[in-house]
Amino acid sequence: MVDIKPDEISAILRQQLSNFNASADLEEVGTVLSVGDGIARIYGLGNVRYGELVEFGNGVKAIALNLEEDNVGVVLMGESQDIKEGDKVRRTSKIASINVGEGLVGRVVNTLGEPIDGKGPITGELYEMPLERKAPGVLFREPVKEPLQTGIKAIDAMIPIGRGQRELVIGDRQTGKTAICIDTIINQKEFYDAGKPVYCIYVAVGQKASTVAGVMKTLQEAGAMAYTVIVAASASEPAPLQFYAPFAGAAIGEFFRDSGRPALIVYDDLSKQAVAYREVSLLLKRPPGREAYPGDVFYLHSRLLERAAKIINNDEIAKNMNDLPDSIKHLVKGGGSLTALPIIETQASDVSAYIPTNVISITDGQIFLEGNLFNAGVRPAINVGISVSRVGGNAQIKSMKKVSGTLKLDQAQYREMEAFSKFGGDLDAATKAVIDKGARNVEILKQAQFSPLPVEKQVAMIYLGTNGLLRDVPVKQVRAFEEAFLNEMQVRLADVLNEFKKGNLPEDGIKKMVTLANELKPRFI
Amino acid sequence: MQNPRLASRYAKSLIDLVQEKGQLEAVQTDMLFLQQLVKSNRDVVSLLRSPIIKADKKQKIMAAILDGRVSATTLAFVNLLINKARESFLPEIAVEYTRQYNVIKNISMVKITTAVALDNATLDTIRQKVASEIPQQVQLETAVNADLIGGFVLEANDKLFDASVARDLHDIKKQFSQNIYVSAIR
Repeated sequence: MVDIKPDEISAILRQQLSNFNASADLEEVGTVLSVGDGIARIYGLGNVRYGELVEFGNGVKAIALNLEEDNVGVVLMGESQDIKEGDKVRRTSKIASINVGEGLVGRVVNTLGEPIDGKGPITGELYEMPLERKAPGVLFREPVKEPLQTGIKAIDAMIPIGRGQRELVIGDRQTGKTAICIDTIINQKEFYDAGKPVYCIYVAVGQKASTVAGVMKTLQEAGAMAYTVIVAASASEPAPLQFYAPFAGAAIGEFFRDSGRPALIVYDDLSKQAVAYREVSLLLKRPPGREAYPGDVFYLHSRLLERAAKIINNDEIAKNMNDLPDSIKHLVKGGGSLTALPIIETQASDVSAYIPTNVISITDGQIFLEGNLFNAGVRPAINVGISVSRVGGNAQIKSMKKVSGTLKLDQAQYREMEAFSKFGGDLDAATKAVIDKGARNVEILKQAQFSPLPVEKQVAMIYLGTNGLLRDVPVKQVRAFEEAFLNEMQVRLADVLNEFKKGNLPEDGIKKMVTLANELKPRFI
Repeated sequence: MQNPRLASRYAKSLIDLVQEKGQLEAVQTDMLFLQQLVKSNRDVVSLLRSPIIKADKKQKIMAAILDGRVSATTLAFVNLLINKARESFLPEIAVEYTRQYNVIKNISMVKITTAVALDNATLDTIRQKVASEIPQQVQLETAVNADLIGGFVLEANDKLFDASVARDLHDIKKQFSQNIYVSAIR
């Protein structure tokens, strides 16, 4: 209460008093039989529906998840210590939902859509979106073909992500999973500045509140909060809030998707969500399965990730989409998309654990991060060999597709040869060439954090790498060369970069670029 | 802990039996008496719940309390509960019996709680008003709770109409307990 101004206090008072409605309504009530461990059993509430929100006398909300013959099992979305046996619980007749609108952009909200960043109420018109909603059917989808630029060379060149795709980011702790996703969000600034924003939603599940604050600060400094919403359910929140947070994020993403705009959602991370779900399931006495997860943990993730989609670019068809909430029916437009970047944290690189295999099989590809690479200084620490994108080249602009076509194969060859070369001895010229080029490509694919690169610059740099034009530059100098080269390109050959961006690879432009590169090389030899 | 499933099973079997025997009303009076007994006498509840006192002793005590005051069927039922080691649920079963009795007799229990005792004229008006809203026969129960400050609370079959001052104050308090101008993440 220290950093609050007097006029704000009066604003709160006025707003809250104006909202106050003193008329009483007929309510349906039940009585608490028992409460504990975040679960309450309720007697009564005969008409309650599955997934409905109920409210306790002290304002704590809960979701009805177990409807049994003689009682209702609800999971509390707040503290349970003030709730006693015999307390009254009332129905709200609302399925768990969140209020979504343009005003959410730039804000930090909790799972229930309440702002937690201390910037006052969410402004503008709000539309009620259910947390659980069926994914759009086949008729209302389109193949993924538009690129979602991450600004990370290794990803955009070799593991391209398309709008509407679900690409898993998987790796041990401290391998840069979150960093990749934050970089991707920051890279969308280019589109925001161009007036075609890709709305970003960052869902933090079970993280430290300080980590979330750090992410928020990073995004603010990069100017990325202008098109980003953060949904936070930190580790101190009750488990139901944690496992519903990704659904709240998906509901926000769907608002943008269904109103014809592209959106990107990052689930950070789904392993913690599965743990929260396991906790609730076990407390509700549902039978445990493998690793004590409940039987429907696969369904939990599949129904969430299935909501990422590219919607057909036809307003008439899109208007008939299945399970549209009434509140946004008048806003529906075609052509929107929701791209999902779920994150999974593995333990000791074990990708064959239960949750990682599940999510790998659900998503359209995975980006695999490795601690060894990270420690060897290859950052982002992407293991190119086992990272894939099943949508592939369809989601690349033409110039990038041409330039990077052989890169993945080259790198695979390089890794194989590199293993050989470690035995020492003489190598033939062809092998040496492969190793030289590979080592330089590895350098090219390295990139500092929070510095996403526009796609045209990526094309220029990767062209030099795949065509062996950096042969004479020492491996240690490649990154310095890259910086100088891209600066010069920006200044002297802006028109060529523009062509690259449009997807063209004009011959004369490439010639000019190669001459420029050759001019610069002597400085670094 | 309450066990609604158990209470409803025992109450139902008792009600089925007495319906056959035609003692529905008699046993209902007994059940009301039992409810009154456990409400006014804490020791009886402790006795029923005690795991130390042996079943035969409990039976003797209950017989001494109830003999001559309740029908033979009720006494037999209490003995049955003690034999089954379910006597601690007796108060709950008695309430459940009344509820099922009301369903059979098409009676709706309506409870009105006010801050001060109501006079008969007001009660009559309320009774008429409620009777016009509810198709069943209405049995009005009154209670006084000074904590309500003003207004009234009407309860009927899992439905609640809360028009008390205490509720309004509570709602206002709830609204002010949240401050959206202070950041929760730091």
